Amino acid sequence: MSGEVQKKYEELKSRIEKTVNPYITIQIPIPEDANKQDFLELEKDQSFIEHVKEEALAWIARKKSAKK
Amino acid sequence: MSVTEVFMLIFALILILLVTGRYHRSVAALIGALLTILFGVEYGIFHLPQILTELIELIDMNTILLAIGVMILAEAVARTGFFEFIGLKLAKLVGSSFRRISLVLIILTAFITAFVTTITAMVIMGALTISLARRFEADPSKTIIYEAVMTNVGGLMLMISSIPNLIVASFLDLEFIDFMEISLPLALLIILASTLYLYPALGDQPTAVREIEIDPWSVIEDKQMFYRAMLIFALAIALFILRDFIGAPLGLIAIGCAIAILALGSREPESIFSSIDWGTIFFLASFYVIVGGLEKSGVLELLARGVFSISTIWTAAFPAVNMWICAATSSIIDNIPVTMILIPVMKYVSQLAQIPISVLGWSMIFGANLGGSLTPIGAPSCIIAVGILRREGRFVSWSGWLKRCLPLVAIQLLLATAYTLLLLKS
Repeated sequence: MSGEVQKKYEELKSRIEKTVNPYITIQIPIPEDANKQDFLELEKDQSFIEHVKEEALAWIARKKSAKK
Repeated sequence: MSVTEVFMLIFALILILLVTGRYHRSVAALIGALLTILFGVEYGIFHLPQILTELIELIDMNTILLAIGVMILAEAVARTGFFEFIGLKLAKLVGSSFRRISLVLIILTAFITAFVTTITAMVIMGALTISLARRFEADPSKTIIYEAVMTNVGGLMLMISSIPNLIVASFLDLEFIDFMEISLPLALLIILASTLYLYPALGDQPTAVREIEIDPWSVIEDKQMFYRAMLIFALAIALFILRDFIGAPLGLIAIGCAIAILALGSREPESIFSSIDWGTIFFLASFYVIVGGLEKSGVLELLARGVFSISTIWTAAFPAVNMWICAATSSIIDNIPVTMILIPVMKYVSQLAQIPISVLGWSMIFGANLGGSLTPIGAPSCIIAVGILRREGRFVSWSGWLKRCLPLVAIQLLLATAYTLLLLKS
């Protein structure tokens, strides 16, 4: 796959992904006491992502109940 | 060395460059065109004072303009998100089973390729399939591979569906409507037969999600541009069909509609220009020069006599044999040079063997399009399909490709063989 086609594919996939499998990208700055390597590895840590997902749900629920 | 021998050597060199992939195909063709010009002048085929006029006469401007126009039109429509919209709409409709969704996406790929290049169709359908497979936690490998196969079936549908179609149409003066009458029915028949084969071949896959709640409209970023682009594209198709009444060359109609879509149906013409496959345009122009040199030097006639001696063995079935030769060569070399070299050769063979040139032309279209699916390097869409799967961590070997595709492509080629023989009889 040439570079140009690859770029086109990635752009398109990201557009479709937002519709089919919606996701958000956020930047979390490294906490002061965290080990850099341990922190960077979290990006690929599935159990961490699951934990953040659950936290997001709880956060949305708290926000909704606060509004009421 | 005689002029024929020199040009035989140039021809052999171009074939080696194309098969080995040492250079990009357009660079290989440009090298071939340059050698043709240099030796053409040396051997008196071309004349230096009027060389530019002689070269322009060799290049089929109608095909070049038609290819550029259709590429701009298709790219502008693709950028509106129309094809993703249709794919998501259909996926939502059949929902709940990844096998059913796969089948719909595979069939849709053929129809999309009728209007856009196989590369664009494969990129769109590949991205869509990967996203939906992730949603279902299913394996997209078979779906993507079969989509690549179906891009080559879609290439049969209309005159604008593939470059070999444009080349043969221009050489034989075929109309847009001829494709709707002859190759479109075959493409539909092949899609039907392929569907029957694919449903069991896809197998059932475990699905994690049973419902897909998506809004297909969310992939359309600008509805106003979407409607305008669709309207202009529909108008272009109508004008292609009515060309006979209009009397203007197809290339002019295509360029006219491309200008309309750039002006009214797109907010980013610069980006559309950069997405045009200029490599193919340079390749086409260069190859017209090469073919002109081969014709003037007597190489094509020599090739034709060789092919004719084969045709005398199987005169009744020669168009079908021709189709298989085109399919086999297109599975290794790009189908554009195969078509460009063989179509003038077939003109000679048709005269020598008394076989209608139109039947030979159709058999070339069938073989050149369908043959690309035989190997993972046979067509750009196959290469892209393998590349997409590799990016997703799934490796497709040659044997894996052949195991999955050979039975399906064999069915498609057998149907095309029967259809070619029917054309010969009618």
